[in-house]
Amino acid sequence: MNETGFAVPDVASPPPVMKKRSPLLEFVISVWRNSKGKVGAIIYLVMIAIAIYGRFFPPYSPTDVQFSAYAPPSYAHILGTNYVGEDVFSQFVYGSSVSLMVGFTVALATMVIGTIAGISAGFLGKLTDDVIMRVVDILLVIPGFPLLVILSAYLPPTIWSTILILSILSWPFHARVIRSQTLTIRRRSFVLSSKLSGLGNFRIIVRDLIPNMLPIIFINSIFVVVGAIVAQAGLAFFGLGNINSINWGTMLYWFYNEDGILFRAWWWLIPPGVGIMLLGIGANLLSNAVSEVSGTKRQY
Amino acid sequence: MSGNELLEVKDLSISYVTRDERIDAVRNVSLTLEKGSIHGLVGESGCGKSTLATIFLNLIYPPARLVGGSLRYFGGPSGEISVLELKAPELRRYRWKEVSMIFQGSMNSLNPVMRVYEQIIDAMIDHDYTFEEAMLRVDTLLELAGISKRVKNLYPHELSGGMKQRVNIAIALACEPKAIIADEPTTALDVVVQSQITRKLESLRRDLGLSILFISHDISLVGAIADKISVMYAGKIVEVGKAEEILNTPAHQYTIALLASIPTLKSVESRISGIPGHPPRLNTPITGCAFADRCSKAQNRCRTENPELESISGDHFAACFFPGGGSNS
Amino acid sequence: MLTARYLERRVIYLFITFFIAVSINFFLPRLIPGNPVFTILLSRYGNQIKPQYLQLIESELNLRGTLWQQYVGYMSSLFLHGYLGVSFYYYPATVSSIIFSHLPWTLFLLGTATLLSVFIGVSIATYIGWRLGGKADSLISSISIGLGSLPFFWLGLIFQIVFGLMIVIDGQHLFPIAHAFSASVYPGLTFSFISSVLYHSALPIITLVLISFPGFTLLMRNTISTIINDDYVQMARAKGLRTWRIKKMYVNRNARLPIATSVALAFGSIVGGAFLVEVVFSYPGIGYMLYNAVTTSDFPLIDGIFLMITITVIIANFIVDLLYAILDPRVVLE
Repeated sequence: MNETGFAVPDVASPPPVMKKRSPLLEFVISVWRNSKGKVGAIIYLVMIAIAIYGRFFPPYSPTDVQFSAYAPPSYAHILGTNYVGEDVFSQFVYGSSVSLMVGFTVALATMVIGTIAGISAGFLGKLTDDVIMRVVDILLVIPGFPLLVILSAYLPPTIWSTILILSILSWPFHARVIRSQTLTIRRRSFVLSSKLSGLGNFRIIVRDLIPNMLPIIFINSIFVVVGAIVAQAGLAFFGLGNINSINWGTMLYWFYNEDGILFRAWWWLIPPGVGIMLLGIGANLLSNAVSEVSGTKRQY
Repeated sequence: MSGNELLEVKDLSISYVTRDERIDAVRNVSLTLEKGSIHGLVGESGCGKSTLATIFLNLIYPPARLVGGSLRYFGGPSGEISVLELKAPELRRYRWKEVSMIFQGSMNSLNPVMRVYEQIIDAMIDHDYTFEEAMLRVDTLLELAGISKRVKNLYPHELSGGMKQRVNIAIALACEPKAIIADEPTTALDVVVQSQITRKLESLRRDLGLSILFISHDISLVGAIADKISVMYAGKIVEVGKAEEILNTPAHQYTIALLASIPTLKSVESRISGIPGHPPRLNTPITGCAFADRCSKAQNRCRTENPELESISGDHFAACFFPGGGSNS
Repeated sequence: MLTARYLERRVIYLFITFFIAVSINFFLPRLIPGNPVFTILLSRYGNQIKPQYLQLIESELNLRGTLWQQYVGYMSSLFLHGYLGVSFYYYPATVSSIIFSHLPWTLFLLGTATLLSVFIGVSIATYIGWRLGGKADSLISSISIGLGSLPFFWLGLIFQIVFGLMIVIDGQHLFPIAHAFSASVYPGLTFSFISSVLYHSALPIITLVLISFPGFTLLMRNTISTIINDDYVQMARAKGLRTWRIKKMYVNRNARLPIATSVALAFGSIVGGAFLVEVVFSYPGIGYMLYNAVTTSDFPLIDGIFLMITITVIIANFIVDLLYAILDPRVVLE
């Protein structure tokens, strides 16, 4: 409509009727129906299944050292053995549970901290916004890996230290994305109408903001999972964190430190990398699928 | 055919085809733009008028798809051109040199990272002007568009909405086209600027002998400057005729309803009556008159038979089985 | 546009970030209970240190007085003298001397890899950006996604095995797997030295580039796919402009803006990659030194390297901000 009023009445289409089905269920179903989404989801479901159940059925104990060292793949050891004769396949399966646990725990922490910080900044504005965003800006500028290294060097070498440090470092990016989403959604009319109808801030956040942010929260968290696994592997490679825990990162640490290169033990090197790459590809597929079904784009 | 045509659209159909559905946005439309005239095209948003506008420069890109029809251009040096059959290089030369366009949402149609003059001269340089000629013409064009020539070194974000629109007019005039397609050129501008821009277009027609297709949802605005008016509804032209005929003796019930919804000075106190109902979605074929569901005079026949454009008087055509009955004079 | 006001704001921001990085460096060791720096020193050399020197060591490590006095002392020695302390492991070498002799190698890897990644990423994206949905698009997008998901050091290890050990031509390995230059050449501006440096840097740089460029490709591709539908590109088409002009002046000029911001962010992640790749290839940059410092618990060196690389990244970001302001006329103040 223009301001003259001498206009053809702008007959907009009727407002979209709120669907009765839970938005979360709706969202999951539509991602699953997307072909990329399906492949991505299958990759993750298989990996999670291996991580959860695999440790109960490995062919050997991952710390069983009675086999010959540096043995290439064979029928008995489909991925060969490592420097002390541990079965690489069993280590990979067992290690996946620790790696995925790190990834998902960090993602969960990041989503909770980042979403709360981002919504607070975007919804409360003013001083809260200023303080949170300055912290976010500064944390984003400091190079991540060196900061990870220095923090890990000072904290006790446990897997929980690593999880804590990774969570501290990955929330700012998510908070920034959530803040800008909050600002956008806030401007849309339905939040306004919720406000007019007298709903409190908290109910607006739970009823309007969060459901609308599900796609971007999902996209961000899936990349945090992968990012955390890669970062943990990098730290382990530096000998930081608990190097005696069995995970994809420490497998690579021992490969490097026990001359896996000189023995050309590719069977020991390839599995952790391929595991990480599969998760990365799965994350991208899922994120593309979510973008396609929801129209939300991944933020860089 | 009087030999006075500049652009002639015939039996044009354009659809938007996606994986899920197909929307027939323009259905079998014919339209003629005469030399040196202003032709108004009026309709509600979503009636297909902007889609129709894109055909004049053959800017049909997926998901839009040309289903059928032709567009002939009579203003070229070598006689008649069938625009939709032009190969890419000829089409490029035809664009802007023969017909140019002022876009809907033209606030965003300037490139944010180029200075104003750069966006004026690039069209000329790609249409056989030398750099010096083009630079010399910049001041003239800005003056024609009614804006200070100082803006030429500015970036679009430094201009107001009205100034941007004048820059768009200057760009549209750059290659001395015979016709300009103005798609909602005044939407999003305030009332004063709106009438300035409208008057500017009118004076350009007079001074340069331009033909203008003026597209708007605002029938009173179009009525003020157009020689002829076409009314579009649900992808079809439902009425066409001289501006005063359409305004004074509208024939199609949709046009009548449209005119009735304009608040006049006399009716200022009475409620502004919109047209009840919604236009039909164009994703399924329509039988009968598309307006029938909203029409107070609709009969059974309107729902089963397709009304064709028929002469009411002379050049005045309407696609309505029960024309007339309403007068706005 | 680059205005004085913008410049001023950026410079202030630069100093605040810098100041905070320095503060992290100061507080971190002091917040951990039982200062690990001191503990490590004592546990390692405790029996060699005469008790009367303990105070001297404490003041050398700036651990005497109140926290505030320590802070002032730390800041003044850092800002006035550029003093970062003495390395435990390479004693008596100062941390700053160690960093400055190794930083150039890291900057060489980082700079080359970043520039190549941006160049390759953007070139590929401009190619497929105009052929969206085609075979080339889906092929390159998939490869990019796969490559970009790999850990830097893993790919480095794979390259070492494949190109450094497995492939042998005329009894020679294809590429060296360690060090920055061959032991048989002397550093200097000679052809043999430079070619040896380039030869040794090939695998590390290829590793970094292969993992970094896909991010730029995907970002640029998505940016282009959005811009192509923008009104001003439609208008450019309508204007009958030549295709190269539409690409260059309308699409690419606008697409390079998000790339500029992402270069700054990606630079930080390439730093991490470079550090890991340096370790894999025993490349004598500060990442390799950091690794050594971590394995020897050389805390002053860890702190110093963190500070230096942070400053490097902050300055790189600052430069990108300025570049961005020059590229985008709309930037006046955020």
